[in-house]
Amino acid sequence: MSAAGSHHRLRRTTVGGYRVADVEIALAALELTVSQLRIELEATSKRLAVAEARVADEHDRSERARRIEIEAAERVLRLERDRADEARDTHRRLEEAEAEAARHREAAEEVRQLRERLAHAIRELAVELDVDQHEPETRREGELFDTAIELDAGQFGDLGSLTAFEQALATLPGVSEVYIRGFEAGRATIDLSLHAPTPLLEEMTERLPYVLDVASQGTGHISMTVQPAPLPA
Amino acid sequence: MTDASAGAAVDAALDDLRQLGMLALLDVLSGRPGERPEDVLLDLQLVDDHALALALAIRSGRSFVGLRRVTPDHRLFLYLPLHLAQRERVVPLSLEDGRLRVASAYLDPDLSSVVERFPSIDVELLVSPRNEVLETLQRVGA
Repeated sequence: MSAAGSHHRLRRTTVGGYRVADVEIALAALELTVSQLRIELEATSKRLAVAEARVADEHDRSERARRIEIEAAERVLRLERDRADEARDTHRRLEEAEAEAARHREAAEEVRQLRERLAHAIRELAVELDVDQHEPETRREGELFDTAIELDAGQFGDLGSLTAFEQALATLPGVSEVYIRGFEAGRATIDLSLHAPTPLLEEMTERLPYVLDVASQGTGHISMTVQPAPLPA
Repeated sequence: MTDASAGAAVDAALDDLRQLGMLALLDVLSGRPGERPEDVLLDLQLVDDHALALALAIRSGRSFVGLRRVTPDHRLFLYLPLHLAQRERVVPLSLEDGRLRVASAYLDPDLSSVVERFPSIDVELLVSPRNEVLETLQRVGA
């Protein structure tokens, strides 16, 4: 509401001044205008207070979000640093593991070579002492076997004896692959692949450090009991 | 086999492999908690899975079976569904005289649903290399 719109026309009296009634009406109109302006001012002040409170809230929220963002960034940085440390540590451990495995392989190879030399010496001694006459009668040396042979062998009481026999078979010159297909109650079923038909039993008897007791055999099948050859004291 | 005895057999098998120089450092395992130690070793190629399966079989007293030349029988997956076989890393091999022979990469697969659904069937677990189990299952799905 505009104050200008409430101007009242004042009429003069015959003797000096304005008419009382006109003046009172004008004053009343002005008071009304003032009171309306006061009400508008109060409402505006309230709206301003609400808006200022909202601005303060938004400011607080923005500040909290900024702090959270900073903390998250710091946490990500720490995690990345930790992960890099772990990766370096794991890499170092793997390198140590590989080095240790290589050392074990070298030691195993030395043991295997030593065992071969000992077995060779034992066989030579056995020939000299003529003690190989007790070899099983079922063994027929010189007989050729197929290139695919199923070997049933036992008794193996632990993983070490089984894998040692597997590795010994793999060292035979005519053998291209050794695959343990089954293991039950101490006996192993082993698939042997040969490059060509080979006198396998003869090779095994001559080269492996085991005493072989053949129970049955065919061109593609051998069943035997194996025992490590006795080593000299 | 209970979880505790399966865990003990796994530990013993891993110890066997380490003594034979077929497994280097076990403390590398600490980096992946909550996973089977066998899986961690195999995934990191710290152990040959054929040797590990043999060690597990010997230590658990179970039979070992290689699956390289096994042709999966689709009919057996009616008893042991393929999704369960894939989840538990097992392959059904035969069903004779009410005995279902199952090749397993782990010592303690959860086949309780099979036992509950077919109470008259006796499940016999054999141990097989994990890679061969997975390859055999792939041949089923192909």
